[in-house]
Amino acid sequence: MGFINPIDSILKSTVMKKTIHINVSGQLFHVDEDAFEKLSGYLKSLELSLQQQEGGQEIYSDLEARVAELFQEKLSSKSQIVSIEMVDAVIEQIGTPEEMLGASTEEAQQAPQESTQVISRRLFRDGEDKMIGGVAAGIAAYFQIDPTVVRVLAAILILSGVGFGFYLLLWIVIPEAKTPAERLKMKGEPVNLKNLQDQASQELNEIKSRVHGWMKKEPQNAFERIVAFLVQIFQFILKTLSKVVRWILISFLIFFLFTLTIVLIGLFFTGIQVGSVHLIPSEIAGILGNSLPEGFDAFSFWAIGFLLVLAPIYWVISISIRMIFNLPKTNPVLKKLNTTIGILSAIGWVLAFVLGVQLAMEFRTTDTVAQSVSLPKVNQYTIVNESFQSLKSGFEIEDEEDGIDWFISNKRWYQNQVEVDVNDSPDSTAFVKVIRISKGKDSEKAHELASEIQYSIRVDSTGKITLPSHFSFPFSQPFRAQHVRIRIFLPKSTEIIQQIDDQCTFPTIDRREVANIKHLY
Amino acid sequence: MNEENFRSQMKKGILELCVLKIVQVQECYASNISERLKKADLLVVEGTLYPLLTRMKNAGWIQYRWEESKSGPPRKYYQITEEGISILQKLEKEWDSLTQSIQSLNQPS
Repeated sequence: MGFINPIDSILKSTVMKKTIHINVSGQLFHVDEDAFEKLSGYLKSLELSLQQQEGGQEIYSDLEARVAELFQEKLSSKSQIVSIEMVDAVIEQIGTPEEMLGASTEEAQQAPQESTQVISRRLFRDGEDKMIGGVAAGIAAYFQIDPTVVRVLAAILILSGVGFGFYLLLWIVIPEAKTPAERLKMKGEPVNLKNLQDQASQELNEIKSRVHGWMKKEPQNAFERIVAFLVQIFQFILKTLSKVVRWILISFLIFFLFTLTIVLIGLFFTGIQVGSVHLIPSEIAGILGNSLPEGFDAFSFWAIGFLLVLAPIYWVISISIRMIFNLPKTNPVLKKLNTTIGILSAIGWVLAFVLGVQLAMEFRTTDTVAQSVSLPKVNQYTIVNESFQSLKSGFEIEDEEDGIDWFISNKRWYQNQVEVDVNDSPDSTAFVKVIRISKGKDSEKAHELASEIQYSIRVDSTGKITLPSHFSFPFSQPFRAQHVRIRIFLPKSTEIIQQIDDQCTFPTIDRREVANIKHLY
Repeated sequence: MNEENFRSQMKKGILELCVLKIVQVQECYASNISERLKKADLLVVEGTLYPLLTRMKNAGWIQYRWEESKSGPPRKYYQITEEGISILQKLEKEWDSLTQSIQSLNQPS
């Protein structure tokens, strides 16, 4: 299968009293049996040695035509049967492959010794010695061990379930050794003319025995003919089935890769865990979905993510397999797969770019909602942090170094980006300005999001200002860099004390603004 | 290194030039060309010629047309192309200068 057999394609032979009908370049000749052997061997060796060359097929058909022409010339006068002498004469006139191509005999003599040192053994599937896909036989040839050993190991691995996917992968990825040159590389023998011819004559013998066997088994009666016909049908069905199965397996593999990638992405996000607190995937998906620009939903986000990681994952897997087994790059199935994955990842990049631009637009404008709270007239003010520790349950992101602490509670999103600064009051009154800030694609949207931020401070008559450590907004709303700024305006000659408890260090005060600040521990 | 091999290498080196010269004069088919080359003792086996013709055809130096033959398969008749003519001129010039160079070695320096 696949291997080009000139004997198969051009010499359909039947025995007629020791002469054989053969077809050379479209012409029919009667050939003696010994002449047939010599001629077919010669044509085969020509084809094999030309296979390596550019335009080899064309050169071969020219030569074949010339052989036919020479026979025609020699036959016209004398007998109608091609004898071995004629074949010899033709070979002498046209020349053997060595004479034709290896004219630089010196090179040809030296080359084999050199090339034996740099044989590169390559992994191929052995299509001529296969049980399923020829993978085991190919591996056996690669490691120079008995195929049976590999088969037993493979059977154990496949049956235990581990090796099943791996076998399929190898089957798809490893090319079949189709040409004699590839078969030699598979066996780790140097690819030179002599070996190619040995390989050819070996194959020729196989073909001959096949031909003879076939002739012996030529169906004699109706029953045998029916059996032969059924066998043919069965073979056809098997062949078709194996093709179908292969494609099913390929699709299965692609699906498997797809699922694996999804799971990996999922793990990446769900794997974030702080202490005993797990991330809740549905919540994060909801928030992500809400935060995306219009026209994108959470699914499209995952889809784009998948498309982006598909190519690298595929690339890593295929490169590693190729490197382990020294595989050639050309494989028709792989080529198709490469193209498909290339196109998919290109689509991914385009979509990611569009998404990025759209997302950037969503952060274009900033708007604020400010609110003033007046303070009682006292000499000393105290800032107290109100912790939300008790609210925490479920999803949380915490980064001690950056002081980030975000969490979800009661379908609200809590964030601790609260800045506090203390300033001199323009007059003798003391007051606090609560500024809620958000970004949005236009100022209207930004304003709406800012006003949705919840942050309530409490002030009592003794001058105690209670500042919550977090602000919150419903998690049905998108992230648009919401944050809160607290500006405390105090008349000169008043003092402010910040009480810091160990549970919560937020909000902190920008100390550059005022000198008269004390910390109470 | 043997003398026989060296001679065949030299002949092989100028085979393209010779083929171009033959097809420049008149359109020929492969065995015409090989006959003439053999007569001139430039070719040992016919087979050498065929890969050469295909290479030259692929390079655009020569082209062919099919012609039916009374005895045997249709034949390819080769003719030189414009490009082949200019290549031939260059090759001939090179050949002349080579013979001159070798001649010049006869004189003491």
